[in-house]
Amino acid sequence: MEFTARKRLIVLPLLLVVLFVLNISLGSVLIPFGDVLSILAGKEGNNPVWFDIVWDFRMTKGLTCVLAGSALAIAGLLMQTLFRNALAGPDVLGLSSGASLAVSLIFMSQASGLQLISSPSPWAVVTAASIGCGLVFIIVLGISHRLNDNTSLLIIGLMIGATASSLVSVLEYLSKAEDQQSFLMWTFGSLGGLNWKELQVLAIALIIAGALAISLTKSLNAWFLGENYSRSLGVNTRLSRVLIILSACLLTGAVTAFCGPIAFVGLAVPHLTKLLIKTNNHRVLIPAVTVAGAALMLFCDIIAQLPGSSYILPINAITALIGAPVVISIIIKAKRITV
Amino acid sequence: MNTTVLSTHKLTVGYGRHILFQDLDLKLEKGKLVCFMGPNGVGKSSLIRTLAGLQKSSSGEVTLFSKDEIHRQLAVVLTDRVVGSNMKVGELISIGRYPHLNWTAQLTDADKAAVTDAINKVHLSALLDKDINELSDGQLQMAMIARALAQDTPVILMDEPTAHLDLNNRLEIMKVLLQLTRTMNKAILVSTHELDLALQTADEIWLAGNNKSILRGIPEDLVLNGAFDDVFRFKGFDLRTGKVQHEVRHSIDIELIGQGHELLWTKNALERNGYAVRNDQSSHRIVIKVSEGRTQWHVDDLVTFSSIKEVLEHFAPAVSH
Repeated sequence: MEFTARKRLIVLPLLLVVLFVLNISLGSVLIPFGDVLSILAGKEGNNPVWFDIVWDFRMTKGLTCVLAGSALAIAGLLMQTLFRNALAGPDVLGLSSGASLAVSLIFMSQASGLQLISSPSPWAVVTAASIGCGLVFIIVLGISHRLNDNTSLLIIGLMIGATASSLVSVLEYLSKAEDQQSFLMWTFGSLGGLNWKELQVLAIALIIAGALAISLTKSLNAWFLGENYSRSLGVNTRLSRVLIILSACLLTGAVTAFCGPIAFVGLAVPHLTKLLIKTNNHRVLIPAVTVAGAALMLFCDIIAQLPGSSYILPINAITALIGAPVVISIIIKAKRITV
Repeated sequence: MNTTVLSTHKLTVGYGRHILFQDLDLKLEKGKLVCFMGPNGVGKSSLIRTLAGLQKSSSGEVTLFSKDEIHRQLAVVLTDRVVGSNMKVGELISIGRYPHLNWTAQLTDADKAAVTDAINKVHLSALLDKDINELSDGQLQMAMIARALAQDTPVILMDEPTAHLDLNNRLEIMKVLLQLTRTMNKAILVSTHELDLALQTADEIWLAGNNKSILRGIPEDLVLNGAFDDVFRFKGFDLRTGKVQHEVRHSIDIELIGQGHELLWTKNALERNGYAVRNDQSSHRIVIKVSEGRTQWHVDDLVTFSSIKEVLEHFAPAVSH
């Protein structure tokens, strides 16, 4: 007696591998597919430049897609489970706005006369984004303790997000054009700018937060029944709430710092995954959304680099373009949306 | 042998200054079904949450008669709504095993056996692979009860498990609960508004009423000593006869002769319509005769009817004059 459909689990990893190889083979420079495969196998290939392109540009971008997609998907799943609300997600509850505010402080503090940091290092940006994210979440959580109503909470999350966004606007207004430029590029979202060092930071954050999420499997499953039932089953709801939030903040914070505020992936991936694997068991769901998030991000990135052209569109535009219709179609098809 | 599994000592339930119950000394015993009754808003849910350790007591204590952790001794079925999809009935019920599992939440064969056992107890095996949002209210409630059973605890507390269910489902749930006390020796506390069901199934009634206290006793004693009437202040309902009292609205009184269900329901129809029904000489007489599966009503030895409706229509014009 097993309550989950295991057969379907094989679909996602296959999809991931196919999309990853596809992602690496496509780009502004045309490299024959056979050469891509031989370069991936460690050979020099017909053109030494291709080797560098594949390994130092496309590979880091592909891996960034995988890490960022996975992290956002897990964060989205955690928040949808915790709030028992299908619309919860890193970007909806104001988390990304909090991170944006913190990062904009780093980028633009010089102009507003508060020199916080001379040259933003990757770790400083990650820390700032995580703290910004965490502060918003702590505010949302503190209010959730008093309200006990998910809809109100969601609205409050949106309001906090709006407040953070307007503070960012004020900072932008006060700052110099060149500082604005780097911040604006950051908000478009970018998956291609990471070097191997930065990838490592992102990977470590994902591993720590992911491991934390997996260790919370039991609590996450019990949250489905709400707080009272969870406690009656021996779940320490206070602690698990804090740990779930910690994990979600770390994941969102790290991705937002390196790749900018990427919308919709965190919201859409858990729903898409549950469409394929109808379960609420997080022992299955966490690995599944990890793979699905990576796959969706790779797919979005393939679209973003407009195969055959030298243009690269901002990834944030693509995720919303793909994510929004998907969520709309799910709701229309199911007549309603649930966690 | 001590059969008490849960007891309270000077337990006071409430929120801050607002006290709902004061100085309660209660106990739950193995193999006993206790129905907890009282008017709306008296604090039944709060007491259940306090007994379950989900809400802090204002003072006093709740004692479980085993040293094991509370969630392995006590399971609850609450009024909290469980909504959502992508969860099969089997999955929902297996969540009940969590107090017995490690962090991976992996079910062992023994756990799976306990889940199957719980499912069979409430006759849900046909629905095992259904998503819980496809269930009716009654089926979902049964699944929540099965989840509590899978937790495998000596004590189960339930907050209005029969609310919003139709008569059949209410009956089914109470029957299952009674069975569990008998076959598995569980101590079960059920808060309910179903007076008739409680009177017929409970081993003991807790009656929450005046003075922030709880009156305890077996159902029959509480009926006869008028405790129910004090608490519920029935309006036109006689608990001792189990019937609604009807005012006599017409001058006609009727002598009714017959047997069994036919007599009972004819009497019901006449009283409901405001006629006085007697066993002796009256202004009218109805004789009910059953032969070859057909029932006939002979009124005043003059006319014969084949349904109660016709009998009522016969008297109606006489009344309107």
